[in-house]
Amino acid sequence: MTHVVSDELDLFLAHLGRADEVEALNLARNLLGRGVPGEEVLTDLVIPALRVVGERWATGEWTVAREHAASHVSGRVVHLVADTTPRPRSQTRIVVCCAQGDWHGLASRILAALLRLRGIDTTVLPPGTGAGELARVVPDSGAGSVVLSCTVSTALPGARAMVEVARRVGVPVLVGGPGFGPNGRWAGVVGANGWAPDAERAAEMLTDPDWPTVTTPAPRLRHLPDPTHDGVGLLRTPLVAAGMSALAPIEGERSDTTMRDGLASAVDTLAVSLFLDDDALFVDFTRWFADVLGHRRVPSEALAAAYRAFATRLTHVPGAGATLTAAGAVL
Amino acid sequence: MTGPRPSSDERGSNTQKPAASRLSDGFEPPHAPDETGPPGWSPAEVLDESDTGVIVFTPEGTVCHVNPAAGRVLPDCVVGTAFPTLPATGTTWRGEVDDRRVHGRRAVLSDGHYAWYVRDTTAERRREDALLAERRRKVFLAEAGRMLSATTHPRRLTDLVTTLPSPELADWVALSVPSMEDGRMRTTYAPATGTPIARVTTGLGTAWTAPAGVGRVLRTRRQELHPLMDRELLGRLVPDEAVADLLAVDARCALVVPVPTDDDAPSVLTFVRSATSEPFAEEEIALAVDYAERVGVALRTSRLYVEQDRRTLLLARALVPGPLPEVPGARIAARYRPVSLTNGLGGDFYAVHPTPVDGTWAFSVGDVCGRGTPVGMFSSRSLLILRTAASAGCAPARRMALLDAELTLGDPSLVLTAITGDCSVHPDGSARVRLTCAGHPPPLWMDPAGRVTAMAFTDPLVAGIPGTVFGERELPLPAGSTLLLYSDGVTEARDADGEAYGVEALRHDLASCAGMPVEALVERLEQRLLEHLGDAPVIDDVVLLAIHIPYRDDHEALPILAELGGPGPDEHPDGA
Repeated sequence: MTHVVSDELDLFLAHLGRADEVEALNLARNLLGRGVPGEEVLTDLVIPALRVVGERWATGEWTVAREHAASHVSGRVVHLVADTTPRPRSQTRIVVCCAQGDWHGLASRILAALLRLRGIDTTVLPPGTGAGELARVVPDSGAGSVVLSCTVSTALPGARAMVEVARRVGVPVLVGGPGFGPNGRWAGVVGANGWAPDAERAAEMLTDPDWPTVTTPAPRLRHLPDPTHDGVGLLRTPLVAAGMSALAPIEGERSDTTMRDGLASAVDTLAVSLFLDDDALFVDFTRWFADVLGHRRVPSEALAAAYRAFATRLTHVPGAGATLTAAGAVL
Repeated sequence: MTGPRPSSDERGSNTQKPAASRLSDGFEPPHAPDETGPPGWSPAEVLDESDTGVIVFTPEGTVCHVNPAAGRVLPDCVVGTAFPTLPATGTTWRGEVDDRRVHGRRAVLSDGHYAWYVRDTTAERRREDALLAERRRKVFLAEAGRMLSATTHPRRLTDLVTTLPSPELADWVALSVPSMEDGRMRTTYAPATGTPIARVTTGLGTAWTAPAGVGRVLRTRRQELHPLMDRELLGRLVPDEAVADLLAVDARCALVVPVPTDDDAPSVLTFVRSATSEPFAEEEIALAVDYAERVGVALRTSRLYVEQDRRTLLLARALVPGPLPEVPGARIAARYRPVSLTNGLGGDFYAVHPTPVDGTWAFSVGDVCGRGTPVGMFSSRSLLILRTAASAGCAPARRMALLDAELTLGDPSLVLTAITGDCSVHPDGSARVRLTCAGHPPPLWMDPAGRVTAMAFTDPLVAGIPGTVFGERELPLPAGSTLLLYSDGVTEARDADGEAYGVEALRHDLASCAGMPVEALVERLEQRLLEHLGDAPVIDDVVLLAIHIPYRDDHEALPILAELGGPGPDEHPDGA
């Protein structure tokens, strides 16, 4: 049995860096031809490469355009691997999708390909599919389960909405991905029937006789309906504007999409943190974002100023002040 | 009041009085009533007539007095014994004695004596239980009805039908659906928790003539109750494959109920209970019939839906754009996000088609205003006209005029906007575009350095007005440049605050995509658009079509990426 070697990973990364689809596909095709299992092409080539791409974007080494290009090329490779597997005739039929608000469609496609390689019949919905669309697709598709991937915690309210519509028609939901926190600590809040740390475990759970055929509606959240989450979400635009003007004296007048997008993510993360009733999410985000900004030579004082601007506008939201203070402490 | 031992009603009729000697043996009321009590009655008499049972214990825990009511509630309680059923501590007690529910309250008397006041609560508790059971049945029916009616997929529906009733209604459920078309009977059952749902197909003929079970119910359309099954009867009621399973769980009684579906032959539900469950009570049979009614509605809806869906899908599939062809010298990618079909077919269309000239191919994007089947049909007809005209060698303006002429013949309410153009690629790798834009949002053009310009057009929309003249414009597309065509569903998409995405945002986001492969570019633009929308729904079809003229050799694209890859990476000139 042959395996992926590190030279090939470096070569693959080089192809991704040049958005060289032809060479990247050739490399994958050669590996498959040499007898490397499709699963290893995904787990030992594509996934590690994407991890490096993510790091390079975070450190500012690669632009967002380059990162997108690399993801696109990787997507073609995933497609190639999935295409080499015949459609499974399994009884286990599932729908795989991204949480609403999570745009990492590649993660769900890789997951779907890995499940398919394990004999599970998968249908992948494109990123951007919302709860409304899922509610129409699931009852018609004949899927026995929904597998929901979420790579960013800000999409957890979207994930919750999707779990609700699936479970309302009795379809159980398995969730996974870094968005659900360490050891899936937020999978419960979202109302999932189960959480899997990786594709292998997910496949095991879905084919386990104990995995439900029909499930009950998602249990209600004790702290919902909670106006705090919506309240912060609705203030997104003015909050980002306030944050941008607060950091302008420190950062200067530059239209930085990273900064603007980052502040928008900060507001979303704050809202989700309140939704989850867990400061850790916002504090971790702040640490990560300060690091990203550091690589772009933006002082953390700028972010602290933006947070102070948020706090003055969120005095009416219970918990927001405390969460912002906790996060400000790490800056 | 159906316990095996006839219990007194809770008001306590005093018709049968146990021997007073047994009850009051050795009992001296602490406060003798003889002197102080009013003449004519005594407290002992009051105790004897009370509906509440009273048992008095000595400080050592021995029963020293039992009134008649207590004797009826707790017959084993005898004076002179320690009656351990009632504890010596605590203030209340609930228990079951010989199938009767008893509730007691303890009071401490003087000298360390204590008394238990006990009541038989069997009847009220039973009423409570009946109410709770009734509520549970209502909840079950409501939940089941909601889930069944929300599910349209036939297979998934049968899964639900056979799994929902367990354990509320039965331990094992089968749904048999006869088909007159192919003379088969399809039976679905959930064998036991934790095993996949089984499907069995049998001939309808043999089932039809059966003396009991599904076949008989098919003929008579009357439910059948089998309160006690033996192995032979079980074999007649359930599929052969399930018999062993059911014997293992000691299946005891069965209920076979027709499912009214307004068809020639009803479907049939078979409920089986094992020996560990209670037999079917009257209310439960009624519940099973109610459930069957809901199943019938769901089965019918699903059948109609599948039929209708097949028709809509056939139509929609004819309208959904197929994959784009490969064209020499250019890379094309499109994103099409139609609003759901439940809102009627949309009128957006796009395509890339051949022309008779070598190295030249044509493209079209358009939008018939409105929604609905006529709009959808006309949109596919428009595309056909543009395609046919292009392959006949007509120039863009002429194609648009032909489309306009077609519109004069049809429904006068139909109006459309469109772009159609030809793209010729030169041997040096650069290209030239000739296009006509009739009332459609004009294309955006991005040069190799990432500067975005909007093209301007003044041509009217296509409304079938005779004499309309369409102009043409030419645009050189050097290698590395990108042309973006889009529908008004893109720029007019509004977020929850009602703010439109707008051309400026689209230009800005297009600029940020400089250097991306064209498929990634349209993907990212769609993502930016949906991010702008947030939770707001997409209310108009979204079409994005990008045409990119690559450098001759793919590796020459390198300098662009490297140039954009430096520090301060996110500021692209946006051409504004």
